[in-house]
Amino acid sequence: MDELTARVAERLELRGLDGAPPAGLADRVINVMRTRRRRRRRGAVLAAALAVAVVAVPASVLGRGAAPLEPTQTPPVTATGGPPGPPLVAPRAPEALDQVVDRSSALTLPVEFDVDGQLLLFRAEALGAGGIVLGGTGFDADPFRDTDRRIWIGLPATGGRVPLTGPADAWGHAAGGTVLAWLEHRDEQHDYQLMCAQLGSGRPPVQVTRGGVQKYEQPVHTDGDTIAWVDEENAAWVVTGCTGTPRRLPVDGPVVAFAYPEAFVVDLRSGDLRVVDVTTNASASVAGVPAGIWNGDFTYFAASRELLAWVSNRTLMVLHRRTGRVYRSISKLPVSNGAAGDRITLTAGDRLVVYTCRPMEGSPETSVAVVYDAATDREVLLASEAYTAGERLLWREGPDYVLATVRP
Amino acid sequence: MADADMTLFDEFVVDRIASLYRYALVLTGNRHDAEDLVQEALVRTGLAWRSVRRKDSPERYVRTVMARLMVNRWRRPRRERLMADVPDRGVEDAELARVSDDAVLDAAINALPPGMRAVLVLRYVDQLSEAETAAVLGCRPGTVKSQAARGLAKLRVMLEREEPTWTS
Repeated sequence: MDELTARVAERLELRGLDGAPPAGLADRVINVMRTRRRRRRRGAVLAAALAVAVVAVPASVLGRGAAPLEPTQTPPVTATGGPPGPPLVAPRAPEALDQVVDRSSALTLPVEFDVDGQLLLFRAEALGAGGIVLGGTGFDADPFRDTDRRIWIGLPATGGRVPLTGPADAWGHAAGGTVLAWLEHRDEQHDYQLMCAQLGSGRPPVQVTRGGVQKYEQPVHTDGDTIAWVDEENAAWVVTGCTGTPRRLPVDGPVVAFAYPEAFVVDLRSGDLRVVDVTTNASASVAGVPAGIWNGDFTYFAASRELLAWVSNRTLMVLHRRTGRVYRSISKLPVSNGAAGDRITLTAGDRLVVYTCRPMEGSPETSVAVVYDAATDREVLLASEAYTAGERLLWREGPDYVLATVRP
Repeated sequence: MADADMTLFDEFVVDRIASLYRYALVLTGNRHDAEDLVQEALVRTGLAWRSVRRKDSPERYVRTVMARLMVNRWRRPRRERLMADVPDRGVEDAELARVSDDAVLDAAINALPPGMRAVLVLRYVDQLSEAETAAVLGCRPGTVKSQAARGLAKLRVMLEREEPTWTS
């Protein structure tokens, strides 16, 4: 046990040391249990009585030739393995979104799809600049439920999907132009390693790293055919293509955003953001970004060719990358209030920056997103998740994911 | 449940409530939630008492139920989030620094999702193996490993800073 786990164990144990139960708790437990038991017995008796009554209904009541009463059809079990959630509500995308995207370019990817008679729910995790959607099934589920989690490529152009993996303990998806990357638990020596699939190669996914990848909230970034990540020792790395040789960057710390050829790395000693040119290894501070910006895993970044954005303390900042000029600051960002916490994703395209907040576990129906257009200085609030890459925006609308290009 | 069984259950509750309540405190970190958790777990145990009482350790069964309730998004009334006091910056005295670090760690532990916290309790307080923890929670050992690793990683990141900041 290392020092941290020993301290965690110590703090957890201390919680229980002086804990005397409140007075009367034992009696309350016993009374509640007896009440529930009585209700259960009453319910069983009622159910039995109803069953008898149904059997005894004369045929004349059913109507001549009527079929016998069918048992109530049990609702289908979702791919999560649990009871079905509330029906999907189809929110109307606000008119304001129609001023951001070109609806005539819209392609849809249904959330539900059938695989050999089994209905699966697809959840988008990353959008590639070329319009590829990387996501998975079974990821709506509680991580403690043993469900069939797989990674799929979603193809809005055809409305279809291609499986990338079998059942896998995988997360941290990132989609570039030609490579797709994610973390997967592969062996007992490391928690997660980096996996890569090269589009159009016809080859299966490959494991890029021998060592483990540090488990920051957005642990992997891709642009084009280059992937950036940080290992368990907080050393930053890049690789070109799935089978290239990984190269270590000159700045140690989490890679928090990547827009080729520049990787944004947090210098953990100072908490400052540094930008590293992965082709020359030159590094510099980032114009317009305050010193000590890093707020642990609660700061989220995104970068594109022109834009740099981050979210900290529910405030979104968007800058012009070269000049540091502030486009916008948006405070009191909405949250999804997931029972087990929220997951925030920040993406940046050619002119959009998109903040998405989803519940950490369970159904994504309470997801929210803010789409900011740097070209028009407008923002749109969506009652769904959304992602941007290049000139495209992906969002969820009712039973579908919708992919559209941004209006010129 | 026959009267004799009922009596045995009542006796079990009275006898073990203190120990189980302390375990609930370890899992939840606050008295309100601990009270709800141990009550729910014991009620469920009572409803299954006929089979539970024949087990080697009914208490271990109740603890298992508590851990599973934590990971199964057990719904309880939303209460105000109870946090340790955040210390002021600029602490120099080593003893005070240690107390401050403990407060930060306590707050960080409380901020973890309940399921992740349950894994840490089972692994590092109960000292169960990954396989044993997985058996308690009814999940895969890989899930236990990843939840423990992610939980510790979050705590490590929190401790690298001096003040916690909460996103919701």
